[in-house]
Amino acid sequence: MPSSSRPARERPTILVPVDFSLCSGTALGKARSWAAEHGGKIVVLHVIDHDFVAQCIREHLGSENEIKKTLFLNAKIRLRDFLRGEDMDGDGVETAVCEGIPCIEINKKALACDADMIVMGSRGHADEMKTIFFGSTTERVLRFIRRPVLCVPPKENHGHK
Amino acid sequence: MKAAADRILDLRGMIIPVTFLKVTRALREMKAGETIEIVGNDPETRRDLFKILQTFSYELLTMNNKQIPYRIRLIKGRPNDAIVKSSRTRETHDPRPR
Repeated sequence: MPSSSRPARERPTILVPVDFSLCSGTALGKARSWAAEHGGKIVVLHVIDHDFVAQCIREHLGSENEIKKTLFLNAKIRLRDFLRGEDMDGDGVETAVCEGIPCIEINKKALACDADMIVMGSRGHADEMKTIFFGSTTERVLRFIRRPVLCVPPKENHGHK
Repeated sequence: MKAAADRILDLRGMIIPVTFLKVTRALREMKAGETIEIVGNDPETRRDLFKILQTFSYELLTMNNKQIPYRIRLIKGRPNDAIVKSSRTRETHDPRPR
């Protein structure tokens, strides 16, 4: 699990990027189990996609600042509810919301929090066709990251959602 | 209360966060005292709408949220007004016995 090239820490850090999809909920559950077993700390990250912000600006849904303000507030509320739904709203879980290109922001956060491992769902909310042709966010993270990544597939009964 | 709202915002078929962006844009464009009726069918929008509106001054006039599409009517307050939850606020079409 944690990289063999780095010394084992007393309390390893697991970064879990989430997009509120069922699959990212499953990944969060795996991270929780692993953290409970190894006494690890979990950092849950949600990235507001820069492309989505740009699209909202093009659709005249407000100024860039107004749009970001609403999206950040929405993300924080959803993240809190998402963690509550997974019984993870207690101590030992750190949360972060940022805006940017998801794969880059995930890599940045992994370095910033010195993550020992990243746990991600293999399939998020991204458009199915876009994922087929350009790959998922998880695949893009894997191209650049120098930390171990645990990629969690959706549960069988999740279907294509 | 006026029979018709000054604005009707139809959010049917839309989901968060687009719904929140449309509501906040509409409220920014409205003048104090104007009313808006929000019509929607996304349950997450209905659940979290008032958390998103925490930075706005408004009064909740009516909320029919027991059926789909739900209808929520608000009146915009002045910028420095506190958020008021009016005693006039009621849930219409509530089938539960009182």
